[in-house]
Amino acid sequence: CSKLHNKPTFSQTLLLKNLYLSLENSSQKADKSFIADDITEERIQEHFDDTFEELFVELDKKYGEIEEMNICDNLSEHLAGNCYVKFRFEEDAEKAVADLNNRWFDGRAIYAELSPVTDFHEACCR
Amino acid sequence: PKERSKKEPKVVVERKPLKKYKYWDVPPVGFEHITPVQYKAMQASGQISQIFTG
Repeated sequence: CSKLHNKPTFSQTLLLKNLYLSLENSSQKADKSFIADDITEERIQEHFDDTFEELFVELDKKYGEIEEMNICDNLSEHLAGNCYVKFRFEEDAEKAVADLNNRWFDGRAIYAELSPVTDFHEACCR
Repeated sequence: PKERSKKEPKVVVERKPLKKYKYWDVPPVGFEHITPVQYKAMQASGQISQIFTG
């Protein structure tokens, strides 16, 4: 994103950049594969649900209680697949950032950072 | 004398059997032997592609 985002030192909210790659959007995969005919709405939804569930379960279990979690499902390049996780405690978000930057997810390296967003309904890219 | 509290029979919490993760800790094909940090450094230096630049 070309916009200037201040990265907070402390925040309850963790941002996982471009984490979720929708099947719908997978024509942009590195291998240049195009959308296959068998990718249906149901499969896309199922893939999204599975991703959401796995993320939530593991993050909640390993790093701490989650208050809210959102995955951006839009195709706008700088937001695509961004996942915002609001933990109950700042310390948990901090721990998660440090650890997640050393983990893989779905064949990709995780880009984790803290985000200033705390109210997802008010959130917009400034 | 203190009596040991009679242990209640342990309540076994019914849990869904843990599903094995499909996505967590799955490295990109061909990069199983480097760390995510090394991988990201390679992306940053342009040695391998990055889908989005964020």
